[in-house]
Amino acid sequence: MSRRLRLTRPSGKPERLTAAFLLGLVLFLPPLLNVASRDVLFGGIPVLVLWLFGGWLVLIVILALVVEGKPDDDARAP
Amino acid sequence: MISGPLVVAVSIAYLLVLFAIAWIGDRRAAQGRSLIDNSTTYVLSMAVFCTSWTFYGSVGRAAQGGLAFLPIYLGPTLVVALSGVIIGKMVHIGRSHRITSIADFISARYGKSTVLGGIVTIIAVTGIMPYISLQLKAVSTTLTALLDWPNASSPIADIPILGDTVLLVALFLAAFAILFGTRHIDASEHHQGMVLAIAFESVVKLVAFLAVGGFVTYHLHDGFADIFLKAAENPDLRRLFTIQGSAYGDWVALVVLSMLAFTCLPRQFQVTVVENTDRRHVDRMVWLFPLYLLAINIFVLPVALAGRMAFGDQVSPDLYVLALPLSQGAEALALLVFLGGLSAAASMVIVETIALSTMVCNDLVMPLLLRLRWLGLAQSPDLSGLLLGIRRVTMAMVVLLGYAYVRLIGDSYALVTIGLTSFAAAAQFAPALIGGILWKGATEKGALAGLLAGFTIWLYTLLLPNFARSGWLPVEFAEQGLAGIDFLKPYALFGLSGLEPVTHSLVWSMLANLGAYVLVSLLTGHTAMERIQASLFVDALRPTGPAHGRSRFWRGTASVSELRALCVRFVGLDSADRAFTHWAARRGIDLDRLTEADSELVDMAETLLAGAIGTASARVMVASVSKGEVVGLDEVMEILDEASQVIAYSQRLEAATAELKAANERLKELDRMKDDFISTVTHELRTPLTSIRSFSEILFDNPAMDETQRQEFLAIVIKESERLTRLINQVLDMAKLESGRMTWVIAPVSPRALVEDCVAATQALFEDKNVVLETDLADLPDIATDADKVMQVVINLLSNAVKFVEADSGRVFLRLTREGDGIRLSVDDNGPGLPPQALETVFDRFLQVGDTMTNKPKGTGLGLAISKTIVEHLGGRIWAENGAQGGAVFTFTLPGQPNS
Amino acid sequence: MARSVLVVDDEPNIVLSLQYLLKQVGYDVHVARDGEAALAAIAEHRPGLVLLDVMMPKRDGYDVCQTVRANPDWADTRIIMLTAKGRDSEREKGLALGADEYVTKPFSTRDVVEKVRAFLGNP
Repeated sequence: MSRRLRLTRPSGKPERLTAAFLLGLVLFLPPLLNVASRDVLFGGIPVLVLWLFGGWLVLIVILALVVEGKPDDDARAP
Repeated sequence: MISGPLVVAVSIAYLLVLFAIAWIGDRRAAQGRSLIDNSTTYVLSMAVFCTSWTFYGSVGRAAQGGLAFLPIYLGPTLVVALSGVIIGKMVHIGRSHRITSIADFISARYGKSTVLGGIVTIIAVTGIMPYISLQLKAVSTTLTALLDWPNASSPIADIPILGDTVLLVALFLAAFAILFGTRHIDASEHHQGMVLAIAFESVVKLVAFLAVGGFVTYHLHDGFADIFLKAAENPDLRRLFTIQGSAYGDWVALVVLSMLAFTCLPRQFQVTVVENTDRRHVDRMVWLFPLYLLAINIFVLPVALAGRMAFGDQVSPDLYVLALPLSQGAEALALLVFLGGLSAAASMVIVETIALSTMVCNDLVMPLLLRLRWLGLAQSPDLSGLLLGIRRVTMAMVVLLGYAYVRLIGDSYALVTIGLTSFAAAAQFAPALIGGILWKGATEKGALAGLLAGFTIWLYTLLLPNFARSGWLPVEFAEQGLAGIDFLKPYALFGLSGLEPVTHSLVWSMLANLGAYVLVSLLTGHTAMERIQASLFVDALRPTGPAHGRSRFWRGTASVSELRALCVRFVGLDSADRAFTHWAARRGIDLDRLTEADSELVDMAETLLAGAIGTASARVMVASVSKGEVVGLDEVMEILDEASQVIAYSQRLEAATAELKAANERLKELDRMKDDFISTVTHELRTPLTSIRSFSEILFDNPAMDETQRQEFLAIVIKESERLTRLINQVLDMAKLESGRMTWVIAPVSPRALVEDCVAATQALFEDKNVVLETDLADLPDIATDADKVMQVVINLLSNAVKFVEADSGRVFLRLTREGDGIRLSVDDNGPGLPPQALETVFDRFLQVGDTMTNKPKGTGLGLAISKTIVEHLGGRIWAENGAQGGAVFTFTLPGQPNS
Repeated sequence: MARSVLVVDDEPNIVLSLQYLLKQVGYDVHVARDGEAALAAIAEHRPGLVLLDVMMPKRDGYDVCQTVRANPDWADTRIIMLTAKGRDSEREKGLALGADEYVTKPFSTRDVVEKVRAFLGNP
């Protein structure tokens, strides 16, 4: 009865990678950088160091998840 | 105290190991068992980005500016995330056009322009050459530090030339580049041995840095927190934990600069694009390469802080990495660190030398030589030897010039800042390079204008003032501007002051470069060749892009023998024969019978030549043996338009076809449903009709039938007639509902009164069968709905329930409760219940679940379907489930307002 | 034995009318309300002829017809299919599966009796 629609994920890897790039820009550039740049130690580590290296690691994990995930062709649900 | 001979021996042994690795890499490649055809090696070779400037200089920068060293590595992390748009596309184009260098890439993009290739080469040599010196200088400085510890290091100019280890290292590196960088005449082929050695060096420098980092952090101190906490006690060091107010601009500029430089540095282009063996390696690189950068940077700040706490101002921060282990007597570790630094320097020098020599040979020297007719080069029978010779000489010259530069300028200011100065030079390629693969409208003249404008500003605001500070130009130039004009101060051009020199230069040069590039591109036009190349580059990743038919743009002929002879002259007999035979075999053509080369063969030959002598020269050489030229600009536009129109048209066509197909499927489905419906309705109508006809005929034929039987048969006729009537009414109802022609009368109704009416209407049914109907009706506020339709639903549910329970023992429970602002009504019976698979389908038309063997009266099969349609139209929901006692429970809800 | 008829239909009133008619003529009449009951009844009573409805729960008429024809012991059993679906394709399918005759509902009672008589002879 209902028309069968082929659902495709609207964005492929390039788009998701570009989104990760934008996330990186936000993390590593002012104004968010100004927020992290505080003369405070957290667990003995300066917050700016935690922010930059932590953000860097998170970004790497996201990039890895995007490129090592299923190829675009399989990402289509029936 | 480490002995000099030991260090020299270890260094030489290490360099020999590099030779061995490269030799193995090339050998395996020749056997077809490549060692570099994997993403890990690809990533490690890209780590040539981390030079000795990273290895020693990062700690130096961190000791002075805290986290200010980090943007240099954050930029590449960001830029590889864009690999799909930029690096991945560059790799694809580079491979399909047999691009040999970044100069070749830019020249090819803008109509195979010889001039652009030359300009890019000149900028690259000017900007990068000093960077090579910096690497050699790092080797010399660290070697001296290692040997003379703890004395202050002596200036390099004082070291006698003959005993100079740095010269030895430089000679080794030149030899390495010559040996492993010119094994093929085709510069677009992979230098597998070289890449393998670079990857190995990347491992060594990472291991060395992690070792010293771990030593400082966990041996000299008690981990990261310990170092930071100790440093925090010193306000001078604590200042390094944050970014100072004015440094944000420089931070942003450095992120941008390193993004551009990472994309445009000739050595990065070499390992990323030219040496790429498989496009898929780019995928993993996206996260693995940033991970390498993260690893090599994790200990930078701790080491810098530890160095400052240990040495104060007594040791140059650039040498902390070496000095910290030396001061603790960890001489083996110091030696490892030295090898790490040597690796970083050596890999940079090797790759940069190969990249620069390819550019100098293919984009500067060859085009010039081919133009000098009196040399007769264009007619010379074999040029492959000459080509290799030029490249080898260039390599030796690049390395030795770098060495001479070190000795000449020694410790001057110019060398210290040359790292970022080189970055800024390479960044000048970015508009032409990145714009070229994203914007078809960019023209050769635009690229030329942008490059020249950016380069000039770079020279004026960065390189010349560096020279002035080094004392090669009057120092007033740097301080007061050209001819003392305040406006023209190199570090505060047009009054823009307060920025670091690099940031200042980047702002102005990029503004000029990008501005000229865009403006001139908009004002000038394309030649036919430019238009072709622009679309080949920009549309490279489109599956139906023009790359598949680029020979269409060439109209004309050449003789096969001449074409072949041309290729033989440049790439040698073997390579040329292999390429021609391969081409012919793929098309099933007998090459010996072919005399006139078609455009496809000419294109193949030109691409083959491009790998050896660069795109621009290949174009010139092929044109010299062929009659006819590329088609005119108008025709190019026509072909491209046609192609894009055909593509667009076929895409539209495909979409339309798909839509039609879907519509057709839908129609077929509807048609089948209509057929099924009619067939089922017919069946349902015929069934009571059969009984009616049969009994009528029986009664007609048997006038003498006894009265009781006659009454019985007549009762059947009447019942079946009623069934027929009901069925016809419901079919009409259904048709009305489905076509939307049903009229709905929405008015406020008291739910309880409505349900009580239904109970009254069905009372007779219950009494006939002696079934008990229990009710639990809540007093609810009025709802707006169609009372008649809802009654139809309730009565249908009640009569269904009566139908399915046993006479006498049957019980039906009717419950009305509140649901939100609406109602919920359920009819619960103690009949047989529904088979689980029927819970959903029971609402389908003409589906009857009743078990005929129990002789239940049959419904029309439409009642529940109609109920469902009504309830859903009124905004509610209806469903069936089996109750706890096994009977069926039919429940529906209705909202307070039909559309809420 | 040859004079016995099995009426198979899930509509009680249709069964009732056919039962009345055939008994009136003098045949032995057994009834079944679905496909499975029909096969059981065929095995038990070995009727000479089966009046078989197509649309039934459990096993439909085609299925029963096929099963009967697959059993050599029942080769001489005549089958008249009854159907409320009038399409030619249904008719052809019934005949192809081995039915001897095909009657569309609503049928003429005399017609059905004639057809039974043609196959079984007078009782």
